[in-house]
Amino acid sequence: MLSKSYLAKRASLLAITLIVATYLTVIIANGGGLVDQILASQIRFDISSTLSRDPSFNRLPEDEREKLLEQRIELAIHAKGLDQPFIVRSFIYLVDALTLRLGQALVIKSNTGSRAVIDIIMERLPATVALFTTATIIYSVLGILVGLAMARKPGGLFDRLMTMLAVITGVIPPWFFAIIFLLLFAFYIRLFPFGGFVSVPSPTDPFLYALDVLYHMVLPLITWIIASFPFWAYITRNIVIQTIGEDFVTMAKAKGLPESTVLRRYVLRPSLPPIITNVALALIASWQGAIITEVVFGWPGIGNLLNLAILSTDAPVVIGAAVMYAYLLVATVLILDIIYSLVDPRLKIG
Amino acid sequence: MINMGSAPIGIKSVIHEIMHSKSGLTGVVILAFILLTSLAALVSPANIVEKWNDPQAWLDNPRLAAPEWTALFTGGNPAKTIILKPQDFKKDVQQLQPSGTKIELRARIVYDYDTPPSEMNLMLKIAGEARSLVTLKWVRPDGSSIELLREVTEPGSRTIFTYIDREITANIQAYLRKIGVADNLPTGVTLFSSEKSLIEGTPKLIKSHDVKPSKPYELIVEATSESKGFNVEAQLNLLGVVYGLCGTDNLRRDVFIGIVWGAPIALAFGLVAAFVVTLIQAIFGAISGYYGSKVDEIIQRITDVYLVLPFLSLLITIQFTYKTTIWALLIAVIALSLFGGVTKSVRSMALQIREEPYIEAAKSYGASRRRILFLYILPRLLPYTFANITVSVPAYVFLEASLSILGLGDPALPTWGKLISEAFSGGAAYYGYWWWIIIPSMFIVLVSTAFALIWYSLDKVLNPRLREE
Repeated sequence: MLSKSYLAKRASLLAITLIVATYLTVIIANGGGLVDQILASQIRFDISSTLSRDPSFNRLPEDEREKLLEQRIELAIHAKGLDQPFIVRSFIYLVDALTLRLGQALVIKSNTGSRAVIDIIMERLPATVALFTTATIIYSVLGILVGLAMARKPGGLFDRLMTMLAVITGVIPPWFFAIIFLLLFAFYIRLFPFGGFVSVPSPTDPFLYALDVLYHMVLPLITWIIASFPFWAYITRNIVIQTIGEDFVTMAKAKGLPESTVLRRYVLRPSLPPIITNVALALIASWQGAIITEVVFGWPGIGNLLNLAILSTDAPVVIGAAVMYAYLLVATVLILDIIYSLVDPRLKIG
Repeated sequence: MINMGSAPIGIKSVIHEIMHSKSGLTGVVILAFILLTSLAALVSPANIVEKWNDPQAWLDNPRLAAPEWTALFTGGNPAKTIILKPQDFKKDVQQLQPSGTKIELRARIVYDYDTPPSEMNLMLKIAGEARSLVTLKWVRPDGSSIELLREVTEPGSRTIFTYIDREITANIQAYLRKIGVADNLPTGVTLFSSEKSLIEGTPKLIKSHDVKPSKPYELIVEATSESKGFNVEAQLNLLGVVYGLCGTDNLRRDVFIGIVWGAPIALAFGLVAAFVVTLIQAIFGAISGYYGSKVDEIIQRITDVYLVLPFLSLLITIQFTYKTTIWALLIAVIALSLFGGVTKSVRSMALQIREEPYIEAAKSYGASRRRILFLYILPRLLPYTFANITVSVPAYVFLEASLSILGLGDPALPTWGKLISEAFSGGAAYYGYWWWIIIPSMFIVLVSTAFALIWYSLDKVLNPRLREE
């Protein structure tokens, strides 16, 4: 039986987490109000330059001109709500973000010309999902398999080597591999392109187009997998070894069950929940892409979009991506909570 | 749960564990090597930061030259840099009748490399009040000569880039036509090949020791002027195709100096960030686990918020908005990681520890909560904390590099990350200037490996259960 109060408690805590994290993101992405100042001065500049080109305006006496200019600027700033203090506006931004009204981007446009943040993000999403979600699936499966192999003989040569590799790749960011691989495979061996999504000009035939995208995807895919799977193997190994140490596994061994049965039924099954949690969270995180890897490979995904948005102080896009991620993350955590409390009675809290 | 039965307690035993395991010792040795390398920074000029960003300061170095030791693998004897200072020129002053002075500067270059220099630049400093006639003549070891330049110049300093100077290029083309060569050969090839081989159409570099007895190349600068106080000084830079231990970048800077200077910066940034962040997170975790109830709840909720925050995006935003130095960046990093993974794991450990009898004993004789926290619980958590510091140092070193890749690094300091990012944006991966990108990368990986090895030696002790068969 699923405890309703437990679920309600978890849900409300997650909701608070979501709200606070979103608010902090809003504050920081707006540079603590700096973006508003930039917008206000942008408006001031636009209006004064438009007015100065207007001959009828130029014929007015000096003080009239000043007055009219100030009036127009004030109206425009008021229309955008920029005359309110940032604290007030930050809460408006927060409510907008939480209700997923992501609004209009300040600078960035989608390829179709739309300014809506949701359109811009959705346009970039497929490229990121194609690369990073695929990579996540491959490296988690690979990681789990290698991790199981490591756990078979802890302290053995293979285990020690993989552990070292895991720790080293664990701290080396993927873009680092990206640069080295570009030098190696794109420059010296000339096996893969230097980056990008498709060749220019792109093939018109849909099949050839897909093939071309795949060709561009191989190197980033390999990079991401090699950078990630050893650490996954290490995590899996630790979880499995901890389970092997449990009394019920020793008991199963003592009963004389075959090794494979013990491993499958008594070790793997109880080890699965934390592994599944990790995989689920990684899959959710994967749609965010990777800022630097995408920049290095010129991959037109969410990561590249975020970089562009940050460098053009396009706060709505940054907030939009962050809030969508936060929602997905919190929802996943909650769903996993529900599943586990259904499956594992130990997790039920009164 | 982490078994802490046989875990070491206190700094001394942690150091003992590191020094008495093979992996830990290897890590320490690698770190010591990097620190020793960075000692070389002390002997380089003090104004290095200023100099690093001043393109004029590196004109005596070749552009994008590979390290010198590459010759060991590629064979041959690629050109190294030869600098002829003003005192290396043989000066001959001659008073002309009825007036005027003729100064002849003669540079003798013993040249035995297999390739022509990548650049040949002549710095002329002409003192005086009136114009002078300057001629440049190039004499090869085989006795053949080319007049490179004959022009009237104002007094002052100037640099003649012989390979790209328009007058010189025209003169060399005229020379080639005169000896019957139809192709426009590169200036370097023309200057350093024997005239015979040029005429035969198979340019072959002539070395000083190819002729018997060996003879140098000669550059003769002749200047004549009627001006008072007339004087000429020259410096000749024959820039090589290889340079130093680590080669040079596209602004002719010595990559070795960048690495040597980057080492203390990288280590300081990584160590301080890892130390402060881990310690703060550990203390919050211990408080959360030991105090329990309300305090625990609050700290755990804040940690959840921190774990949801998009760390890199926010850091990039802060760095972009305020364009700060690496040390301000350090503060931003710490502020964004006050709570995190360590808080969670230390809390679960503290929950275990607080149930142990010695804590109860301490309580029974009236030790204060703070005393128990800092003197009884935190020391037990020290090995774990220490292991976490070692594993996060390289992560922070790479974080600095990550921001540099996006063009958000420290504006002035030469850091490893900036070296790599400049190499990448300078097209090192696309044109194969491997030394520019691989050597700094190798150092970053070396640091990571060193800390990973140290961590490994601690992990064996911290998680004995994970090692058991």
